[in-house]
Amino acid sequence: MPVLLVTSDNEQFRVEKVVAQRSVLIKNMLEDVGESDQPIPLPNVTAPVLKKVLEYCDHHQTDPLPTGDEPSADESRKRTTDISEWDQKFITVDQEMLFEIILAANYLDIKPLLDVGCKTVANMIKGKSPEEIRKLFNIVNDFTPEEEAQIKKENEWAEDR
Amino acid sequence: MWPPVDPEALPSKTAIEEIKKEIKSIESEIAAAERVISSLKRSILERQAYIAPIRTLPHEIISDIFLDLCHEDWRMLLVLQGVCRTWRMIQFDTPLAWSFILHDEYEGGCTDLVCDYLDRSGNAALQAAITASDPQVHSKPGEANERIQCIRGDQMFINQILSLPGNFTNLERLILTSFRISGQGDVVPEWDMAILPNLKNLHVYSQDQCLNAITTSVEFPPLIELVVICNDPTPVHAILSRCSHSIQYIDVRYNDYLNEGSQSAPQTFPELRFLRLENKAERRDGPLWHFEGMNLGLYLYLQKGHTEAVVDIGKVICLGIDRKHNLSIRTP
Repeated sequence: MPVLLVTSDNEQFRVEKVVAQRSVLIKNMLEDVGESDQPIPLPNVTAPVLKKVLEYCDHHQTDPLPTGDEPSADESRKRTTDISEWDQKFITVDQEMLFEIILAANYLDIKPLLDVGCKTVANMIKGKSPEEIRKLFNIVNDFTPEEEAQIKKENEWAEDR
Repeated sequence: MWPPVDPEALPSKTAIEEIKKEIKSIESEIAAAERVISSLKRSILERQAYIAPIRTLPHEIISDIFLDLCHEDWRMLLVLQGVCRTWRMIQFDTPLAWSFILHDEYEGGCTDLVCDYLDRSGNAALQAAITASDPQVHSKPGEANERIQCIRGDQMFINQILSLPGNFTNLERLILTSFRISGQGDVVPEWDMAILPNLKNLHVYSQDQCLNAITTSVEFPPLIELVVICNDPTPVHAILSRCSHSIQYIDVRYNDYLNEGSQSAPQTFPELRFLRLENKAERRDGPLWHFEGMNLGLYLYLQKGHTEAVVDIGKVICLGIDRKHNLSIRTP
């Protein structure tokens, strides 16, 4: 049975339940309301972002769902910045869209998509200096000269390694 | 023809000065305009920075990104904290990011940094590989091991540390994770838990072979806490049977059970205060656990998924059962 999703800009998306349920938020909503053809409002997601998110959910609809209730996900999860080829292609978007996808994945509770987004940002940062990172993300260097000196001192040891 | 023959047409020094003055005035106007442009450019950058897409990310997501980076290369930690105040603050509020300090050639001289790591790693266990080139280890062989209270890492890493000469008499907490921080290597087939006489907390996350290897130990320390996430929980019986008189906290979550229909022999757990059992698999094939003789009563008993346990419900202070599976609770 298809599910009707309504974005913040009032666009409607009719998607298969199995696809929509990749989102834990939507899955829980559907479980709460039971069988109903009522549209599900998603006030924090715009149409272009939801379109991308649904593309991801559609492609990964047969993947096993993460349980996500480990006592310490940080302990058991193997942290790498590896991303599959399809995911990499999917997430090749401009910065604004990338961060919107991450926010939507966080709001909709789609852990694997959130991971892909975070790993993509991590890969963008990897190997760059603080100045290059600032330039990449338009971040202002707001350290005082004293703070800068302190950071430089802290980093000196590692730079020699 | 130059110079002009008519002396009237000859430029006077005053005229040259006038032109020079005009140039100077224009140059000063240009400089002023350049200053305005530069200030406007700076204000564009500031505004762009304010609306930069990365600012929309909540701190916990940025913190997660930091962890991804730092677990691949701990030096990134130092790079990230030098980007801006907000990132430095997030970094300091992410204890796990400060829990990895791997040095292959520790030569001293970084005491301040190590102290920073100790401060900032908060409750997260600090992982540090101390090698033979550590001058302190050279001067007092084996004594460094006695300072270690907690080790976290994959089984290869932990085995490397435990293979160092000396005693681990103060090691209280051992956390075996699936993070591979020590390169490739064979699975450690046997563990001798006798070298950890004061081990109180044992956590084994997604390390089934390691769980089996631990049960090969002839002697076992009196554990207080056991947390296991695994596929097959069979080895958990063996561990529990060796520390049933001391264990206070048991948390076992598993995905697959291979010995269908088996039951654990009834055991007495006089100190048990917290019990959580979870079968993540959809199949109804979990083992039947027996927990008896709880003198103090269970403060919390949580049961999730298709798992069954024989527990004296009358002694449970707080009971949490899985609503979805609506399990029947057996009592002895």
